Amino acid sequence: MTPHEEFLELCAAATAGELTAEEQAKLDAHLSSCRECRKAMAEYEVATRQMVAAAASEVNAREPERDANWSVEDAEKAFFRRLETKDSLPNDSAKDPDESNKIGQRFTYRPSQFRWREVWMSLAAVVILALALAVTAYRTGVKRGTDIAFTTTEPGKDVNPSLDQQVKDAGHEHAELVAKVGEQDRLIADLRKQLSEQEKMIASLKAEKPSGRPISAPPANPGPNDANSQRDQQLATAQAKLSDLQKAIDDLTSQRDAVSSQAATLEAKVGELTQLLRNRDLEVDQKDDEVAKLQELLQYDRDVRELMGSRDLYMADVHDVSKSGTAKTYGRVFYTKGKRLIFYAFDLDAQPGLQNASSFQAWGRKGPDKLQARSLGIFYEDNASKKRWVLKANDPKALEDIDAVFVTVEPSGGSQHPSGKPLLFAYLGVSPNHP
Amino acid sequence: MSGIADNLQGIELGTFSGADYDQTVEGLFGRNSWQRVQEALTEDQRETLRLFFFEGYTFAEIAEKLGQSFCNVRHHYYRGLEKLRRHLAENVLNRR
Repeated sequence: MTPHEEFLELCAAATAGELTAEEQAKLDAHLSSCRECRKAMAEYEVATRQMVAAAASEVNAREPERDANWSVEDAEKAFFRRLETKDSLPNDSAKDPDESNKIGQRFTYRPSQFRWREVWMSLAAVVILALALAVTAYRTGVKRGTDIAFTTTEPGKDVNPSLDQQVKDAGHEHAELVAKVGEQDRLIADLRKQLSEQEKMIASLKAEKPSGRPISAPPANPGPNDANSQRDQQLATAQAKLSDLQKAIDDLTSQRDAVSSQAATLEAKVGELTQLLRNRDLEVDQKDDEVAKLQELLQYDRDVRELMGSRDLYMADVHDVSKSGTAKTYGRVFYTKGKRLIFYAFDLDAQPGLQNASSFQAWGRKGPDKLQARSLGIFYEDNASKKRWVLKANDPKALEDIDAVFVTVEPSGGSQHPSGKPLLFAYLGVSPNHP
Repeated sequence: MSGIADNLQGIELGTFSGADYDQTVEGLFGRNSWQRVQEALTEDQRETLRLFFFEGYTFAEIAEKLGQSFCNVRHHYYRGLEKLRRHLAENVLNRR
């Protein structure tokens, strides 16, 4: 028995479902590597199906005969007879525990692992193919989307390139033209040099030529006049070369003039574009300034709204507290307890004996000791024409628990503690009077 | 050379008519084919296949019935099926 024959027998037995687990595994391992046996296995299965079909048709053909002879009693007898036969079977099947299970398992399809693997591999291939198609479709879609995005944005770029880009392009083109003009200038100078040398040569040839005979006329007889003839020839060649050189110089000069004119036009364009660019920058700067001012105004507006809309606002007019005090208002205080204080003061710089470098510093006082006062900041001139000064304090810590505010003149930059005489004083320790 | 499995792909019982009739079991084996196939089989092979396919016995039951070993019955089955396979292959290929 050849090794293949052994496996062919296993193949045949497999179609009947009569293999042990061990034999099935052995067959599967062999089938995975043997094409011939796989083919034989498939053909055994076909042959088996044909046999089953043939049996079925023969059973059908016998059916009427059986119907006539068939009875329940006979069937029961046959059944019990077979049961008894089965019970009294020798222990062959007991040797293999699987054997007993196999009785009555006829035609049970037992697909081998190899065949399932083929099915799973096919399914896996289909899944992978589907995934690949999905990824390809997605990528194609993304690419098309990107392409569309490019095609929709690029025309805008071409139609209206930025001013910067235009200046750069024109500048680059101008530089190229200037370089070309320079190159042509060098070429022309070279040609002029050649022309000059040629002219010199012609002059020297003419000087050597005996008078009375035209240059182009051939010599009467060669022999003694050979030298003259040669000289005439040289002269004619030199004059032709001279003429060519002159022509080349004329051509180049006209080209150079054209390029120069082009370069001049471009230079003018660059100048124009640069001016446009400057104007645009100026406009942008102006707009930035306007925006900054608007933002500042908005901030003021917000401050005013916050202050005026505050529930516990205290407003007070401030008067001169010096000995020569008048009824004239020198300032106004808007105070929201512990949150915000705005102090407007007028004519601060009109104080007698004030030096230019002095600062006006505001202090928040708690209790009678003015040395314990906290600095609230230095006044700045809000409106020079109205001689109005202002101080804003938003630091809740500095405004905490103060009961009065006063102003002193301090050295430029302010002091840690009040050192000058108080100019203005406002008491804040009363209940809010607005609204 | 293609095998009979390839040639028989798609064949199902009772679904053929007309020209397809040749591809059915009867067409392949010929009418009363089982009688013809039996002639090529030995007595043991014939009996094993008959009991297995026509009577529905298992190999163990056949072995008991015929008084042979399980391995012998399996071998008869294999040899018989092998002859059927060859018969089918020749039959199918000769017709194509």
